[in-house]
Amino acid sequence: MTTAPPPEPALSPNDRSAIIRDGIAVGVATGVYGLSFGAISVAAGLTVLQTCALSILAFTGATQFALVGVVASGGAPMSGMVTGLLLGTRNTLYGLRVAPLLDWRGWRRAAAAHFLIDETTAMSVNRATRAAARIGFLSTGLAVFALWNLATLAGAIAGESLGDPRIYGLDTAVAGAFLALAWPRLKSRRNQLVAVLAVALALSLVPVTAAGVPVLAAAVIALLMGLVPDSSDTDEIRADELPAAERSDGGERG
Amino acid sequence: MWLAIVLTAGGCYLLKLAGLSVPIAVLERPVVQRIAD
Repeated sequence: MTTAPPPEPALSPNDRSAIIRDGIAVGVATGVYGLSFGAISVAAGLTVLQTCALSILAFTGATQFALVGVVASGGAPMSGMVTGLLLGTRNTLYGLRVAPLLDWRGWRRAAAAHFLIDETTAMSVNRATRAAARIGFLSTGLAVFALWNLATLAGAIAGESLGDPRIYGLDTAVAGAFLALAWPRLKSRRNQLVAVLAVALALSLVPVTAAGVPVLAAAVIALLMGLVPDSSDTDEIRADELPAAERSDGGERG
Repeated sequence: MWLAIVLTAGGCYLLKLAGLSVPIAVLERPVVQRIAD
């Protein structure tokens, strides 16, 4: 914080507690998927300790589901890792979106990075002020971290005693969770096209490649589509979506 | 399995940190904004 902070209205106690309440609600909702992850992970052959280590250290759901999914379908742990890391690049993109809003430096940024996931991005990106964005990020991050890890442990222990989660239909819950994560992104034509092409490519590769490869190939489509310039892309919302606090922060631009 | 877990966790953290550490000037390039979406 070397530059003078832009003037912005202080956050009222009411706004503050409303944001924190929302963060906790998101944490509770996400915890349900933690149960599912724990159960699926031990069914894939990971120990309870390995399962919990993933939730604490990797702390990004889609990556964790991908890694244990590849292992469950007979793939090598290392190819599961590659698929998982590819999905982890999503968080890098989230970082691009929220970094100017949160504007944390040094150890705060290093600590915040661990909590940079779908939910924290969603709960901070549309805030009107930096203070609100930070509260949204922190409350959601801490709530999701606590409940995701508790639920992972519970799911892993329950999964171990209950057996194969597919008996209870939990395997389809994973696909449902992925769809719920992707759905809000499908508003623009470009993203719809990416989704259709990616699904078509992935489905056509499933019979002929090792587990995990179809997902990697599908992600390449998204990258390529992002590189194609599109003059009709009028629904880009970045500039007016950023709070005034960010735009007035012109001191650091070169 | 443990090696895959540790590498996944470390890699995920570095990916997150990288995203938070990109300078604002880079973020304003349209190509970056399209891919980020």
